[in-house]
Amino acid sequence: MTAIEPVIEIANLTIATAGPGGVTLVDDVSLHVDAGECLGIVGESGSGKSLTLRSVLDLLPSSLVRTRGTMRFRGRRDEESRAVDPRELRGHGVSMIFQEPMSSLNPTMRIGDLIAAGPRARGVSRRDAADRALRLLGEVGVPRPEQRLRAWPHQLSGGLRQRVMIAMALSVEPVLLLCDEPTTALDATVQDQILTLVEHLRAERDMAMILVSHDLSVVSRIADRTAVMYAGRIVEQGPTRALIDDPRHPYTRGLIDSMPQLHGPPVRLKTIEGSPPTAGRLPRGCRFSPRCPLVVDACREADPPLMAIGPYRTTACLRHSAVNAGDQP
Amino acid sequence: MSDLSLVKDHKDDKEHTPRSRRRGNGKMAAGAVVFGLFVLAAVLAPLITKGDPAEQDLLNRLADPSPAHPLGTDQLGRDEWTRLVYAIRVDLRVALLASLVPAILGSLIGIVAGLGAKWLDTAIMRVSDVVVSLPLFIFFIALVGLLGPGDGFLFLGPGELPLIIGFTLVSWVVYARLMRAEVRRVRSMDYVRAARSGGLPRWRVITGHIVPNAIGQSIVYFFVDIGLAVVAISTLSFLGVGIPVGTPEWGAMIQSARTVIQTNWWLIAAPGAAIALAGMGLALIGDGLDDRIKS
Repeated sequence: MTAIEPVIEIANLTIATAGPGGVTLVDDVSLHVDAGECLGIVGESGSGKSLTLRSVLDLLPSSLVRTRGTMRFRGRRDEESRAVDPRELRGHGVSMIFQEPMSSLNPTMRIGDLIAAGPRARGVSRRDAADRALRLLGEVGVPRPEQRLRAWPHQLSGGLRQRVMIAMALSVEPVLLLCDEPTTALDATVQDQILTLVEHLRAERDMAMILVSHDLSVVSRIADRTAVMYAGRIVEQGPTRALIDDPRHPYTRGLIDSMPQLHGPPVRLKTIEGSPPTAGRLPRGCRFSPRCPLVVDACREADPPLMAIGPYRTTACLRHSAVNAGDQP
Repeated sequence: MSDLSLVKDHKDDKEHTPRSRRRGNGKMAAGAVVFGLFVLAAVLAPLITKGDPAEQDLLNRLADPSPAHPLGTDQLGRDEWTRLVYAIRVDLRVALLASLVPAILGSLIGIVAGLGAKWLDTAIMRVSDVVVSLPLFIFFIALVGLLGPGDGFLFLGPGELPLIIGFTLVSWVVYARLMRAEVRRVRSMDYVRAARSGGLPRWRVITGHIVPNAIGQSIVYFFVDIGLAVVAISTLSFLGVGIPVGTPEWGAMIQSARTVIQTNWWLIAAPGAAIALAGMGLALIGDGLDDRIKS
């Protein structure tokens, strides 16, 4: 019996600034997503989560380069996974939703043409592409889709634009959907609708998904499995529920403690002391050590690697068993 | 899926035309009226004038304005009004081509510089630096003098082709720089990234997503540039370069009337006003367009 291969498998991804003396921004990140699974990536701004996501389709800014890393991809369930070049995945198996709905739709194209562009590039006839666009607009919950096909992006609200972008992403029938902070730019009520929609569409199509967000509550709501990134590395990874109930890295713990709770008596929110290190000027040893409440001398000696600590769980903390041992010292 | 088309979005259902689409229409309309009148006059020239701008009446030289000659006659007894109207054909034709050719050429060069390899970009920009540093009118006088007036080309009259070549050699730079800057701005926009992520071929991303969003400023400048070209062409022919003396052309008309400025000032004022008005009309169109694009 062979194990089911993941839809996508990224190994040892390293991204640095171009040119001599390049600063490493994403350091040796490996991750995989199984068929139909949703992987969440959380981390602060600058943790490298968006870069990791963008590199899947080779959409990095020209000032950055992927210095290392391989990628394997499997288009269909009955297919074997194979090494791929990110560019060949664009519109063929993988598509992406961006953060900023206001700037992610080309202002010079009508909604219908925007959605039809992907299928058209794959040789779908004009009429079929238009039909598909209409159907998708309905499916993503845009009211009066027939009229909206001829609308311009500036005539739509942020929430509607994000729906249009989801329709664009779905138009090429991806098996893997990449979401880069899909709800960050939206207000809270719309954010909730969009998340509901994304969950629904994913279940309906059995798509795999990578969801990047700085917001642990967004990730915890959708993701089956979560990876926590800090200063360009994955520091902890595991099934979302287990990770939140029983964090095994002090950084994860800090993120959870700083989430506001709706229930229970009002308490002052905890914060993580200090601020993340600047890329290129990382502390010696563990990158989190200067801010860590559990730090010991060994932490400052070498950056701990990811260690397996349970089923599907890894952490890069030497003192992982102390994270939840009573309240922190 | 109706449970997902949620109520919240309905408030934005009105497909309104935002203010931005209406703003700037005042200027644009004024410019279009002025420019339209010039074009109309050029087309209807045989109907609204005596018909032959070259017809001389040596017994009736430097006549005052009269019903027969609304703007009087010049030193060779030619009807000033007829010449003024026929000059629109010459001036606007040359100005239009002297802007259109560099606009197309320069924009293409700018796209290549903005999206192409770095060495190509550097090479193009250094060449453009050299062109910008040329003293324009001296370069022009030298170039047009070198090429000579020629006999005309296709539908172009004598002296017109050298002018168009000269303008092209100089003003492609503006379009190339504008386009390069805009293309570089647009290519890092999210919607371009979105288009690329959708698997569109590179040329499709460029023609469908980058260029349409980058071309606005070049179109604005194109209209302003036609106006500038009108002024420059008449300035050159006033200096005796470009369009040959005797052709009904505003600058040449001013040039030949300059000796009689004290007695027949309208022979200078009329073509002068025409130059100013044409330039202003085109600048207004450009300005109005700019307002619409920027908002």
